Amino acid sequence: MSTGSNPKNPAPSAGSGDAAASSAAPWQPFGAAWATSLDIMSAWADTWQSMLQQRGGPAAEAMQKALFNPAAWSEGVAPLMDELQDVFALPHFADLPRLDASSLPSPGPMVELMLVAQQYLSAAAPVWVQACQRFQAEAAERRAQGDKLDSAGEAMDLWNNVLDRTLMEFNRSEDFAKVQQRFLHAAMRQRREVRKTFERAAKAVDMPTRTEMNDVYQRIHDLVREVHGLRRELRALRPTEAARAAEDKVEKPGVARRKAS
Amino acid sequence: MNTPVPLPRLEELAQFSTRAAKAAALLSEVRDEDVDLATTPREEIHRIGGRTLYRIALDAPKRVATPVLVTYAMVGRWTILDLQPDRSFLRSLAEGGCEVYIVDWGHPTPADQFDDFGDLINIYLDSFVDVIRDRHNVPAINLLGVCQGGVISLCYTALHPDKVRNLITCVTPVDFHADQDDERLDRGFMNVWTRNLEPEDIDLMVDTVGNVSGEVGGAMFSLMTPFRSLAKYNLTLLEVGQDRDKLLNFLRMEKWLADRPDHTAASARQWLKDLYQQNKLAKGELEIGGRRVDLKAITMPVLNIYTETDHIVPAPASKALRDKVGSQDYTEAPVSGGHIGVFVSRAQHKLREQIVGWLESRSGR
Repeated sequence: MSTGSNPKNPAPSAGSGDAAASSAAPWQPFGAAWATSLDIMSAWADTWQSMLQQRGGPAAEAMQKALFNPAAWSEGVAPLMDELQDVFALPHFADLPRLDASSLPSPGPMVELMLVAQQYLSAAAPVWVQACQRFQAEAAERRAQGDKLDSAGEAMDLWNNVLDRTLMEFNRSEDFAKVQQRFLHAAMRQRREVRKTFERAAKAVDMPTRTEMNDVYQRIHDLVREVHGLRRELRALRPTEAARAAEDKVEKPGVARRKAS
Repeated sequence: MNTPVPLPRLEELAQFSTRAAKAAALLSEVRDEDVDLATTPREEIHRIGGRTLYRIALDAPKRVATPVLVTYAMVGRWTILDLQPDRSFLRSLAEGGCEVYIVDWGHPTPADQFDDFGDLINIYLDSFVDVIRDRHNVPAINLLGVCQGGVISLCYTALHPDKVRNLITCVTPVDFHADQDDERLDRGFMNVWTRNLEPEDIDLMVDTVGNVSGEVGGAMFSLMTPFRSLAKYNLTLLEVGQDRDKLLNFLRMEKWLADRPDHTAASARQWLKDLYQQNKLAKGELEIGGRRVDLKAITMPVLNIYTETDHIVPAPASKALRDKVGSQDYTEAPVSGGHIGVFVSRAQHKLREQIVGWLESRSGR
């Protein structure tokens, strides 16, 4: 949408006379310049508006989804970071360095890892409370059964057993499984992010990257498989060769005769 | 008013201090080089990359003519089978009258990351088996697999049945979901943990990290007994620190635990997804090197050794083998001890007799 006037098609003036035209003439260049500058501004305004419509909408939507929807909080900030990185991404230009946000290391995985640690602590805290309560209950029960339980070693043994049992229950629980899965995702994203950064650095100093090395390893591996397969085929052919050698031996007198003739 | 500390507690404190001081003094005398593993004489027979075939070089009267090839897991080193002279499974087998070979899977590097079970079985293990067959001029050998090595042995035997005379599996998981039939808090944590993840999670992990670090496996095992894994550095250390031999035993086990090789990426993906998550071996759906692993193809004699108190491979997961193999000569042998304890206990002669006696009684041996 444009708000400026077009200098090439100026608006017709009502009831204009020559005098008025001649008096306005000196101001026309200024008017045209003003109109042009307005056009530049309106072009930029159009650009910003388009960008806001194309990118701002999804960004705001992503923020809204992630920040104002409690159901999505458990997924952490990773999806939001992905959306935002996508919002600021640009197409590739052949002769320009990549300047968009997608080429920068994302802080998302690191933030996500911190959030997972927090989630783990909040899930694990009640476990320790439960372990203490169980320890007290079991100690009381043993005392009630006539067990003195007055040595530090015995108490320590009891505590170890109770704590191990409680932690094992937690480690097998759904809560732990969820944290574990989220941790795995965050840790892998973080690792990929770090690798991306180091690969860029490696390229800058002419060092092979992990991706390039993996490609080499893949080729070597394929070759090893091929060589092994060929060796197997060769071994399978050996009895045939032995048989041929035996045949040769049988044929040799004939060959000798032919040579002699 | 301060309550006086009762005398027995002061005595206990004094005893504790004395013991701690003695343990600290002993510990300060020991260097890493004093803690030696795998000391039974052995010779290198064949090597492919980082994978090595060793022969246990002990001369003893032979009760079993056909050589025995032992395969251990990739998630730990085979050296646990030769922890120390009086707790050595390999030495015990060799002294019991077997010609013993052992596969060392080495420490996989990123260059090995594309090695899947197909490569491990059809390239490395098969080459080692051929070397032994040639050396002894026998058409088939005895194969003994431990834990994950047992799964590798089962797959190998199913794919190359003509090269295996007798098969022995020790603490080997076959039905990876059998733990659900007999759920216990202290058993099968790995099974639960893996099932709690999606197959895509495993792909994400393996695609990102490549070889799965040995520390990941170590962390899993620590999660099984979270506090005891730490308590060993105070209570247990204090206990064993009163005697140099006991301390060295403890430190050997620690050294073995610390020496955790990485798991190649491709085989880790199969191990976690195909076996732990999707239980394909038991279902008869596992594909290795483009061929389906049919356990019914295992028709030679099978000895399946397991322990009821195995916290890593629950007994039902091992015992499932009975209904899966095609062999008419299947023997199940429960032994006492834990998953690792079976191989490092001083009572090796019982396990040895079970194995050597079983092999000896099979025709052709």
